[in-house]
Amino acid sequence: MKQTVDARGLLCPQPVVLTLKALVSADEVVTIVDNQTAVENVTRLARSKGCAIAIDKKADGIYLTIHKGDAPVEMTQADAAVTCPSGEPAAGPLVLFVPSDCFGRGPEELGERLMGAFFHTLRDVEPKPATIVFMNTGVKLVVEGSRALEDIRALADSGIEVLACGTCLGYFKLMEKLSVGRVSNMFDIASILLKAGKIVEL
Amino acid sequence: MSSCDAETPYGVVLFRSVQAALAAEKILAGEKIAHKLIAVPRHISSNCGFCLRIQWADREAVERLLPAEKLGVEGIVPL
Repeated sequence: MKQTVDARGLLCPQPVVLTLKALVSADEVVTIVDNQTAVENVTRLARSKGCAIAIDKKADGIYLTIHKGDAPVEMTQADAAVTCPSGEPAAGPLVLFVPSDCFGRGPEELGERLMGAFFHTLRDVEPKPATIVFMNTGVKLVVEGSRALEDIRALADSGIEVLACGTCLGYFKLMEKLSVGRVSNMFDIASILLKAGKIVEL
Repeated sequence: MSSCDAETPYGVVLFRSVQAALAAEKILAGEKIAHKLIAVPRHISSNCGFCLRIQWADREAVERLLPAEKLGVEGIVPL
């Protein structure tokens, strides 16, 4: 039985996962991809399963024809955990991590103003993060009197999750002054960072 | 919003240097004039990456407080 997998436009690990699923039942699978990373990943998969693979570059995509070997193909635990090379957009939300109230290293006077300007500008640029995590002196940005407060509030109102490290607010005695977002703990923050598709740290 | 009509709610004060922008920020804060230090919007060109957003209605007061020659002001334009 022959099966075709159209993986054009799909990001890692989808081409590999779909090809593998098809290989479990079909004898011949033609996977169509549109980038070199997918070619390499699917080729690696085919070889690891003892399959023969032929690569044909056509105008509308790269056709990978995979013939199953004698042994049956099964999905293993290892296959389920396909890792994607870095530099490729991974599945998962965009998280902005703010560990300081200063943008960059240098004089505070400059760093604080750059940070204020950053959050003002963030309102007008895309893509927006799904979550912003404020940590260490970064929590000073989400409390009363912060120059970035109005802009962070507008971002929160637009649906962005704003989290402030509770330990940090406690350390700086700012818990009562939190003005936007919600207090979070290390379990939530660690989980959000680890599940992120991409983290941008300021 | 590029028109210069009086209804434009905001204007921006442009500066020749970051130092000039920071000095002007202190003056406006001292005079309790509403302002916000922001990055110069993409459609405006300036020597300095910072500018001060002000209420357009405060423009004349700001002009008085920030003499252009002395304080490195490039101009005040509507936002």
